[in-house]
Amino acid sequence: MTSAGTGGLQHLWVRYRTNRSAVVGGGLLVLFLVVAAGVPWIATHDPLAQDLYGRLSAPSWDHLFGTDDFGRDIFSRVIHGSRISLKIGLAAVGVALSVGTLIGLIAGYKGGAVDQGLMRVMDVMLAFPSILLAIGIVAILGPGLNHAMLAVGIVAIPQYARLVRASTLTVREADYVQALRALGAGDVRILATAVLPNCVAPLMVQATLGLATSILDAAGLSFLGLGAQPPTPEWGAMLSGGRELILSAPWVLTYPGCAIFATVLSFNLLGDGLRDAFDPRRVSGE
Amino acid sequence: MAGFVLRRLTTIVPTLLGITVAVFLMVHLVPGDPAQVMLGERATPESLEVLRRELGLDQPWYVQLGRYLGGLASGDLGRSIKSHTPVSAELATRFPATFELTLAAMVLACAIGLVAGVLSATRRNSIWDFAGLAASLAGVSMPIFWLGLILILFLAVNLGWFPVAGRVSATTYIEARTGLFLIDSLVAGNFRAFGDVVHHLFLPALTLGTVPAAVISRMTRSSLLEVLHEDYVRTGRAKGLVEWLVVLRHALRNAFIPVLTVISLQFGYLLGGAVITETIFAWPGIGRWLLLAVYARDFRAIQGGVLLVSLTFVTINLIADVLYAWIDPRIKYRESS
Amino acid sequence: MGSRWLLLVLVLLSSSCEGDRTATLVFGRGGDSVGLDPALESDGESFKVCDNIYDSLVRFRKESTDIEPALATSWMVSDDRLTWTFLLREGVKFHDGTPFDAEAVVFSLGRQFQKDHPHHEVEGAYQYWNSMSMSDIVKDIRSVSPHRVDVELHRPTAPFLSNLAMGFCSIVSPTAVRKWGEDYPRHPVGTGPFAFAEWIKDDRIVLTRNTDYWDGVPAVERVIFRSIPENSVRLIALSQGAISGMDNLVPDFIPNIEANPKLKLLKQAGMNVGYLAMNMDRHPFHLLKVRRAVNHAINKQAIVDNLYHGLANVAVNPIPPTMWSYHEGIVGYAYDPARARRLLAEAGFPEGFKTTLWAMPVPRPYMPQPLKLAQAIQADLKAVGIEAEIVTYEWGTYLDKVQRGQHDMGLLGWTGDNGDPDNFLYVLLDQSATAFPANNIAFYRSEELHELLIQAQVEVNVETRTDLYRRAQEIIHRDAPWTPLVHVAQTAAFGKDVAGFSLHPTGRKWFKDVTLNR
Repeated sequence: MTSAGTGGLQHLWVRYRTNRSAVVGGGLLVLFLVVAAGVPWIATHDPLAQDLYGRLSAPSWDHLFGTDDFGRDIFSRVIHGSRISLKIGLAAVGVALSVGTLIGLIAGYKGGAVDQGLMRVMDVMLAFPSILLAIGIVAILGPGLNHAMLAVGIVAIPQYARLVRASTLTVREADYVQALRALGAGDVRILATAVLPNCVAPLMVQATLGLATSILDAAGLSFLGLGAQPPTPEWGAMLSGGRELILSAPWVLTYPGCAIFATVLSFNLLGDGLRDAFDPRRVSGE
Repeated sequence: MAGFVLRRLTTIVPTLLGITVAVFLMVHLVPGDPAQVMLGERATPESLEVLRRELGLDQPWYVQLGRYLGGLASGDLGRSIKSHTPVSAELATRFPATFELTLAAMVLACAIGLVAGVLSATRRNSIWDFAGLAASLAGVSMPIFWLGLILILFLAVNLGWFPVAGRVSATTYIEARTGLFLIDSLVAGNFRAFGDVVHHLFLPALTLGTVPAAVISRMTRSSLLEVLHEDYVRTGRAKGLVEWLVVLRHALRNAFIPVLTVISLQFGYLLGGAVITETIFAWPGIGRWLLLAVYARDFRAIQGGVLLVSLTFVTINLIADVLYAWIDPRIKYRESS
Repeated sequence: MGSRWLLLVLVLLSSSCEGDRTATLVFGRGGDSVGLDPALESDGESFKVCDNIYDSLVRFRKESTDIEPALATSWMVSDDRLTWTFLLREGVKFHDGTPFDAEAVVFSLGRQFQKDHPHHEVEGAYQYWNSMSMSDIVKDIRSVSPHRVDVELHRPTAPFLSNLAMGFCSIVSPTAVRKWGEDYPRHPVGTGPFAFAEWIKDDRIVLTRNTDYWDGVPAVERVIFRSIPENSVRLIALSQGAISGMDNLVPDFIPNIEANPKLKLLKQAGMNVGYLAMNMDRHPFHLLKVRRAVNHAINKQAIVDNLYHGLANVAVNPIPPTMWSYHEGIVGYAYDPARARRLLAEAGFPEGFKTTLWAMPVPRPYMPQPLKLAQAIQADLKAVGIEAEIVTYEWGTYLDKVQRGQHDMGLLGWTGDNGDPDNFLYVLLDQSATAFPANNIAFYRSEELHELLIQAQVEVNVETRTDLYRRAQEIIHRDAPWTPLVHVAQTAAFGKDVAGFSLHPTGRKWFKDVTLNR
């Protein structure tokens, strides 16, 4: 539970700033956002432009990260990939967060059979290993970047639903909620003004970490050929397309892999930092 | 205790039924005609029609579901559409491979994760702690499909230390009793084969175990730190080394409960991660088989495979629940009182 | 873990060297077999194993599609060309001891088309028999004496004997089929050079040599087929010596293999074609000028040079140059983007147009990397103003959809089964092949072509047939329903110590003559 107001925010900021991992993560993230925003200025080549006779050239001044098997500039593709990964992360988390929160609120607030029913469905979803469930969903929808994003989002719904439900349960019977109800406030209003704000902190942490997971999972789907389709410069798809070049042109694998790693790392660091900042009881560094 | 286990078992049944129906519906929403998949480039309309009738695909979905559940009740998962072999037989040969791989990965992950976590927590803010934290953060951020390729490139290609494909060398023969080659080779007294199995197991287990190792190490560290801050621990520490060791044992025991939760949940990750790891390392397990079944629209194989994997996962979670009660007798199961 | 344990592990690791492997050939491949009943299977990985377990009445000569005797020692055709008589080899036994005789032949072939045959009803189907329209060709098969079989045809058919050399006409042990029933594909019994020993799914199939083989005892004691799906991992396993041979090489591996002194590369022109079909039922590919523009827009030479590392030839005609009746006189549409743009303008598309380009997700012998090929074509088309979006579905769905004609442009290909041009031209481009499931995915309908192809089927004289097929190729070139892309060489890599293996144009693999010199 966080205290609102500027004093509280300032306090949070101080706690955040003194957290080394959070600062590093924040720094990496800012770099990532700058890259994503500055794609047209940073990329040196058209990420889709092929030059078959200049394929698989090693990193050089002309091609910082070398070229892939179509002679495309890997540096520019990695740079363009940052936008795609950002889109994947935001979309997947958006789906999971909105649907999960809604389910959690309804289940926690209504209780009874509704709660039971919804949470059993969540249990069933959690009983599948997540990547397997995502593969299944993509199998239904058909491969493609949008479907992969959706699948990765759907898979994460139960986490948010459980989290929100737990928070909702703790405040449902609280005095101020009872008071609101007595004053004749509608369910929607109570949920929006009293229950939801209570979930914001854990949700923010979960969403930040969720960005990391969803980028990883979507890249995994692309690696299996179920996500982004060529010639999209999505990092997982780039790795998938380059795995046969591991012996002859390892740079095709190196840079997209590093990009996924650094991005996911930055979200993880940031998520850890946020968690510590929001939860004073927690021991820092975790 | 027995009552608790029994009650916990009964809660599994609706979950499993839910999984079965969910998988069935999912699979039947999949576009693409399985009959067409089977016949490939050389299909004729007559052979397609015959095949659809044989597979029961001409029936409405609820009839198919009823038949499937009926078969399931008698242990019949149907025959794989692609290979015409009973799905249960297909699973029986592949499940031990996946089980051995995930178990090895988990053992590796626990060994690395617990040791690193305890070291980090007990030497807080030391260089060890910092290195452990950094490594575990790197671990959870690692795409395993990339990690697998990198490990192959460095440890197998450049250094030549490890083989890259399969569970044993082509010329090693192990008679399958349990299907777990580590056990089978030892039972047969064939230590050379055992070495071969370990040799082949290491790289895929390391690939698969890295993320859980990192997660376990993080959780061990943080939950141990939390316990170490509690009063009785501080008192113990103040009273001297011997006392401190006693307390540490207590602390570990308490700290282990959340770690256990993480471990049991990580099994889900391992079972899913096996899809990618098995593909890279030519591991003849369920993960790769399921992926191929998805590509091939072999709906009976998908149903049976997903059901088995989920059943395994649910069972492991159940075992973890029972272990809580065993480790920490203070835990009261309110439902049972 | 104590240090003693660690020590133990290290000792065990160092002692885990290979067992006796002098007499074992380990062959690495991309996937497992589906089943080992040659009449039921349709995938290459199944035939790769079946071909070493079974024999058929006649077989292809090494490295050619000429026919030579196998289980039949000689054959005669009646004057009306409707009755074929086969005299069978005597003293041959199946691996299970069952004697090979006329009854086995009648059983193996008869089950595939005689509706009252006790083994005609199977889960799955006798796909190859059906797809080759064998029921329209074969009317009856009779055992006349223990070593004589008569086959009666509905109509004279030129490629009949070649069809008998294909895998689906292999002779199986009737005893074993009766014994195992539906499980026979996991317990195959033939007369071939190797007998089935063990199958660990997704891992390996082990064959041991048949010491009674009628055509000489194989040099290697065992052949192990090992499934290693990742292409690069398979290559690493080969260079580590964990396997002694592999196929389905990615073109990018060629420099690696050639640079490795422990390995050798085999290659041979393949009897296949990879093509881009333009769906003539859809706008704007009904326009000849558009189809020709596409032909001019694609830089096939650059594709062959770079994506295939020279392991393919630029295709001009639908049939490969190694096949009889190939028309050398036809000059392919030259790579000429300017001309392509001009043709598009003349057709009413000065600004180009938007369309879709379909590509299959799985490697095929004629296209090791279809999605990469699609990307290269996509870029070429873009250069002349055609914006093609790449569409792909999982293999089964892909086939289903293109065979219904839901694509605009689609990549597909064909590997020849029996060396007859009919097996390419009629199957892939005749108007009769446009009904679902269409093999003619250009939906090209030419009455003129149809007449030629039908005439060539019934005709027996090879020179007359050659002439008919050459005219057919001219018509196809003129109408340009496809952009023929490549004829891909088949490749395999082996350790230097492996000798005696030769590639076959149909892509089939026989290991009988392989020797190991360790």
